[in-house]
Amino acid sequence: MFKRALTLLMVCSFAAALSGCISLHAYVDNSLGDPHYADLKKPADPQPVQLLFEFQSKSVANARATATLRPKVYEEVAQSGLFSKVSYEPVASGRTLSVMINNVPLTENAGAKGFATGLTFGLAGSTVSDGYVCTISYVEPGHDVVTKEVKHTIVSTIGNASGPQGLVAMSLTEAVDKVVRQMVGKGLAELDETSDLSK
Amino acid sequence: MTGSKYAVGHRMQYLLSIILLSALLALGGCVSQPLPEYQVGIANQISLSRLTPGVKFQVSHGDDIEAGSAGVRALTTTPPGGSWSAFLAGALQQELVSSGHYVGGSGNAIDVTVVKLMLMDGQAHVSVHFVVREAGVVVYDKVLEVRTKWDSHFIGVIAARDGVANFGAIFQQILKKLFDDPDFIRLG
Repeated sequence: MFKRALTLLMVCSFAAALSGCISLHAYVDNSLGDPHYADLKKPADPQPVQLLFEFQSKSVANARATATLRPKVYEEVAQSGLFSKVSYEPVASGRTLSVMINNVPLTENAGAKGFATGLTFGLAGSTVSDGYVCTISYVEPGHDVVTKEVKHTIVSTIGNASGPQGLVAMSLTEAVDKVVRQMVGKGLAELDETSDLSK
Repeated sequence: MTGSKYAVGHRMQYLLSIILLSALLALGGCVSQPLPEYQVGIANQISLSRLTPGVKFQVSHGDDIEAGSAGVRALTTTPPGGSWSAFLAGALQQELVSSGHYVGGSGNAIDVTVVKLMLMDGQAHVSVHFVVREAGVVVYDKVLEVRTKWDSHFIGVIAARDGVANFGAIFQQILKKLFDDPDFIRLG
């Protein structure tokens, strides 16, 4: 989860070796915006659905992040109002909604950058970008699978580096929560728009 | 006199060595932590959807046969279930429950035994013996294995974190190998 930024922080901490106080700031771009579930068409007769969720780091399953973020994804799907009930267990109709989020590095050598930041006690700041690809698939037996893909980015700075203009600095945890909420919300909105969920 | 100076210098060097070693151990000593709890894989669920609806299995496990070292740098990881075979059996049960193919006491039983397991810097390997019985008769008996490699970071704490993450994923991958085996799919 947010692997590049975490690597950067760990390397900085290592290099600073107990002596520095180097802070990390995370920024989420405004391209997606927060979900507005009230605006969805929504089915007249919502049905139960089984939710499957998996978080990957560089396309490798990340069990710890999956366990941490699953309740947040559940909350978003439940709040959307697209389904009558959201369950981790199979439902009688066989409907499933799978949400996969893959964290891909957009900045190479995050470790080396962080090392330099740590050695200079934050004077040489570092900036790294983490990409997130959220793939949402809705399966209803007897119908074609509907798949939507949403992308997002977190930019993190450590030490003496300025963040992207116009974006609000937050903690990494807040940034990840926001990115997950916005990606799942956007994916569900697109699903609602193009599938026959509302029929 | 010279000898005494040498002796004092030697003792100082020895003392410094001890202090340095202690500091190194304090900063980077061996740590053992359990592997994170298994999480159901979406790819595995897609594979299991190919089984005949309604077919159910129960799960059992044997004892680990050759569980080698499972550690990267100063970090060793241990199975949350007490043994790697128990951990994998629990993982298999989770996959089957999530796909609607599990029931305790079913006449179809899958038995898993970890035959070989290894985690090192930048690589991991697991071999598992899967036996499926229908009403006590063996209908599937194979040893499947997965080997995986990844780039290892030069900083130990990052290398250890990456190692544990990749090692955890190998259990999803070995189950996928079972679920994708045509001989297993035929059972359903």
